[in-house]
Amino acid sequence: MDCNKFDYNSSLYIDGMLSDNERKEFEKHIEECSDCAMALKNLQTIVGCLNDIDEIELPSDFNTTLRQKLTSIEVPKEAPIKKTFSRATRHWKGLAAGLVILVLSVAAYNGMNFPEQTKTAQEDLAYESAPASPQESFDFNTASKDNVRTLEPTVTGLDLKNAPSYTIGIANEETVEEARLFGEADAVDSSMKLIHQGRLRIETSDFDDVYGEVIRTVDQYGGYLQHSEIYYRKIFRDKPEDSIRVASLSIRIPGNDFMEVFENLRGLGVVLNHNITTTNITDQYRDIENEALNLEIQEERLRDILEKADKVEDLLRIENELSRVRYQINNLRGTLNQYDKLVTMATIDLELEEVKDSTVRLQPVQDGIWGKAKANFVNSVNTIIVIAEKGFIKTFALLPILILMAVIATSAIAIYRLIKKGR
Amino acid sequence: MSQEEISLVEKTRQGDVDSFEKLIEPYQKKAYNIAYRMLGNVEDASDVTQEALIKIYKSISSFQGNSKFSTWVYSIVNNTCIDFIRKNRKGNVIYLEREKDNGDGTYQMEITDNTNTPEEILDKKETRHMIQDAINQLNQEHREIIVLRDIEGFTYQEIADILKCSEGTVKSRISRARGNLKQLLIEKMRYEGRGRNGLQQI
Repeated sequence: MDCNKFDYNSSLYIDGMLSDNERKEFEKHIEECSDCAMALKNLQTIVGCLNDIDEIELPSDFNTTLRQKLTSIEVPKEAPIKKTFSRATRHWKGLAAGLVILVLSVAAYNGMNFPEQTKTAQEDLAYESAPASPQESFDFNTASKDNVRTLEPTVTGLDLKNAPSYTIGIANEETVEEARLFGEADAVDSSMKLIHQGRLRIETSDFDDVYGEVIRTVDQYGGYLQHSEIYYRKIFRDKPEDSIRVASLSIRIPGNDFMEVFENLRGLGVVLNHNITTTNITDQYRDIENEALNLEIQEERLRDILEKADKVEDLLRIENELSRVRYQINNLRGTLNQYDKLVTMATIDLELEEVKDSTVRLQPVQDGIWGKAKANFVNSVNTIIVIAEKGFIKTFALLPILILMAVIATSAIAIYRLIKKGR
Repeated sequence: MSQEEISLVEKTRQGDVDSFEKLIEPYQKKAYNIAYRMLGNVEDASDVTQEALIKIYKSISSFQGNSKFSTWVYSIVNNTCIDFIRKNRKGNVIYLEREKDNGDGTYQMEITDNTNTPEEILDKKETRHMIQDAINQLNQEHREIIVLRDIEGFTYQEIADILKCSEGTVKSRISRARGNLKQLLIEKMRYEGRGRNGLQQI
């Protein structure tokens, strides 16, 4: 055995991980080589010290803070649901990507009038995705009413649910009309909690007017701008009036008026993209609400017990439990409030793009593969020429510096030679 | 895994926090100690241990039962520590990378190895005094293995399970880590000795 391998084996030797043969060989080597024996002793000292290190105790508040963190997170059983959901969206993404590729390839195949084509294709898609929009707008009216109802701190929610719909609708004659039209079947739907989200891309030539109109519409319906950004997509410094602007707005409007406002906005220009998403959170909402109610009942009961308890130990335990319950209730109520906000105020993301009349896209004549090949050929030749020109110009630009450097270098060499000769 | 643990895991999956606490109770202290030795201070250790335990709670449904529950827990604790170290690594931390692998399981020190000078340098009392410092100076790969093997006393097989590598790798890593630690301690003692006694020892 050589001393190189010794380092590796000495560690295993300490832990008793060597085979019998290896161990005998190792022990023999130690007797022969005093250096290695010393090294082993050092290593043993270190390992001994490490083994001697005592465990430290957990901090005293470790379990309480852990408990808090654990109770504030979601139940783990929700994880698999999320998984299937993301798998589903993955499928949709794939489908959507496939459609886009299909549309693009068809458009490209048909030649140069490609912007026109995608525009209509996108609109078609948008319409397909929102077939039930009138129905949704109705549901929404009633849903938000229900929302007002649930905000009232009553436990008699069940009675209200069974009450005839016209008693609720007094505040708004229109909804009464609608409720009658849709009849009894919608008494069930009236408690739906729906979150509306819309996305819209519009092209217009009078940007300022349309932007003003958007702001006016938002004001009129009692909404607000959550986010607004205007930037230049193209800037022509010599001809500022030709610059192209884009506005990106995030608008919040009352849920009832969602469809109306959306239609209004659609009318403001050429629609490039249109998308409505409605999420039904009724089930989650009810679950959470029930859970909160149960906990509140539990809280009541705990308070009763607290009154009766006389032992300090019991008191402490009950109070602990009480604070835990209160914490959960607050959590659930917070989520409900968040949902209420999302339901009462719908979100519309609006992108407004400016187009210039003069720059309205020209439709080139269909000129087939040859034409395109020719155009590309000319393009490449042009690029080569441009590169050559630029190279030439750059060399000229560098010339003064080169000359200056040459002068400095020659004079430096001359001086150096002079000094050398002088010596 | 005992019958009791299996039923606790099952209850935890259904969201029972009490069962989870009972389940991890026996492992908490060791987990905390691993984190403490890995990170070198109590606050971070407490935070990271809790983070790891929450991760365990959330991902309990992914625990297959084909490894021991304890090694699964400790491997998550260890990984969380390493994530934490990576996230908080400051620019000025330089780890000692002084050995290179010869490819056949043995290794060589790139710097001349002073351990073979025939004098007993390491004194037990002094070593104990400096050891945590020295551990903190090891790179994380070596630190974790020293913590698991020599401080927490896991067997080679358990370490292989926790780190998800082969036992052979564990063997060579332990040897290297200890070699490195020895080197560090010797240098420290020389330095301190010099500080105390001027340049006498050289």
